[in-house]
Amino acid sequence: MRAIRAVLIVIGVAVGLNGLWLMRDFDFDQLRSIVIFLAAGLVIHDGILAPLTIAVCFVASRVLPAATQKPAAIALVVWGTITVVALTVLSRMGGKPDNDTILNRPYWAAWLILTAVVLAATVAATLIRPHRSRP
Amino acid sequence: MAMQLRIPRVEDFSHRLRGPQTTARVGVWLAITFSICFLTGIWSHFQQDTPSWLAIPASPASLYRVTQGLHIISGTASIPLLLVKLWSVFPKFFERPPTKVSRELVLHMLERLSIAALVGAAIFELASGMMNIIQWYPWDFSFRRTHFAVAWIVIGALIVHIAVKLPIIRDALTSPLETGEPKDSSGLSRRGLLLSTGGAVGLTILLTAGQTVPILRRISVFGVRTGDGPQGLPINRTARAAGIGEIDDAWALEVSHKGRTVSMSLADLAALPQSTVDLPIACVEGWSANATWTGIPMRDIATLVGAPARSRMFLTSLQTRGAFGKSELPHQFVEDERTLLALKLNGEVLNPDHGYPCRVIAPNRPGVLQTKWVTKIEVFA
Repeated sequence: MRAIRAVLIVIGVAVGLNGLWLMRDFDFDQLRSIVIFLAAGLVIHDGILAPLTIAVCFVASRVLPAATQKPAAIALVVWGTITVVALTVLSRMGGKPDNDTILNRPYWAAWLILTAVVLAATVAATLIRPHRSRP
Repeated sequence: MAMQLRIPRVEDFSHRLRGPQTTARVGVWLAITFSICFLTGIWSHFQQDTPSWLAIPASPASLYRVTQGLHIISGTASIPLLLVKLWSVFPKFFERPPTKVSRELVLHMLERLSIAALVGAAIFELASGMMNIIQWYPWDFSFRRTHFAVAWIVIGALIVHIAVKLPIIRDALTSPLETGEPKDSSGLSRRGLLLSTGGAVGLTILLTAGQTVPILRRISVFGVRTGDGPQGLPINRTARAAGIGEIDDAWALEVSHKGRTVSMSLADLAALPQSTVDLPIACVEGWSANATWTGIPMRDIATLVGAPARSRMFLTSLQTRGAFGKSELPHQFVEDERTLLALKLNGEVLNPDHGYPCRVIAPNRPGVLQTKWVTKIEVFA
């Protein structure tokens, strides 16, 4: 096990250093932009998204009735995923005004409908559950 | 009511759903999606920027369509996995380092550094990839080169992370998922969390993969493209964006070989024997679509100027703006009878945005190398 771990660490460090080597000819502006985006990802996740999720879970676990906790937890995983995955298309920041073959769906409508579906499914699961759990 | 605000400690977080059993299982899935993404990414890099020791085959014609589709799908599917994985270990963020300068402190700092590299680089890759597929570039670096380089950092840091955690991973995967904690019937179990995460991954694929997988087109409401476009095909760069002006009767294609140059008008090209093939366009952004192309086989263009059918070609586009105005067509593609200088798409004369008057279409080529608005072909035996 010790030997395997040591070999893996050596391989991992070499692979990672290759990544840095591939950027050896980048100029200062490019490297600065990369560092800013790397740091922004960490700050947005560790500083905003993660604490927010934990705060929501903390409040929900105290406010929601016991019967709704399980459906609500599933709903958070599903709805959170849908929302984060859709962030870029919802932003509509890309594409070009003269190209209507990209970003050509009603993303906000889709997100609102999916949000409503998740909410409705959560409420439905909460109402149905007591009848199902004990015959 | 007095409320004391302080930096939380590891013990402050609930451990019912968190724990190595949860983390290791989500981690295994993430290692799988990241590996698929990394390998298909390296392949895409080779297809676009082929090293001299490698010859990309012309068959199967849909190879790049499949590998690049997998690249985008595995990357997108990694998003819920990474979020749940990071959530499951978030309390460790508040772990206090050893207070004394010691070997433990150095190891602690090194591990923190490797985790920061792993998490930072992983978020960077997923976010920059998602931004690239909608053509959003709010940065000063080259997307292609940086996305490639940072991928190596992700995989390197991931291998180090697996090595460091190997004993914990082994114990977690061989021990039962639900540990002896009091069973709470109202809340989610670890199994329930893993199933929800799996469901979220499946849903992510259904909601986005339609730009690659035609049967999902109507379901993928978050797909970047519906697959619609002029003549039934999406476009990346319009004629206007490429700086293509009016094409008039004076337009001619120049084909040269060993100092001999043949100039052909569009009527000349249309008078040559035409071939019709079904080939996909597959772009680095993961979208792809099949189409029927009609035009002159490239091997016939080579023989027209006295070059062998197995020649290399350098193609120059009329485009004045943007990258990929020139491309090289290696001999295995020129020789392949499916490779065309296309004049028609789905039975109609090429739309200006699809490369009118003529464009390249070859099997198993990234979209950016299917040069549009071709104006000059240099043939080398």
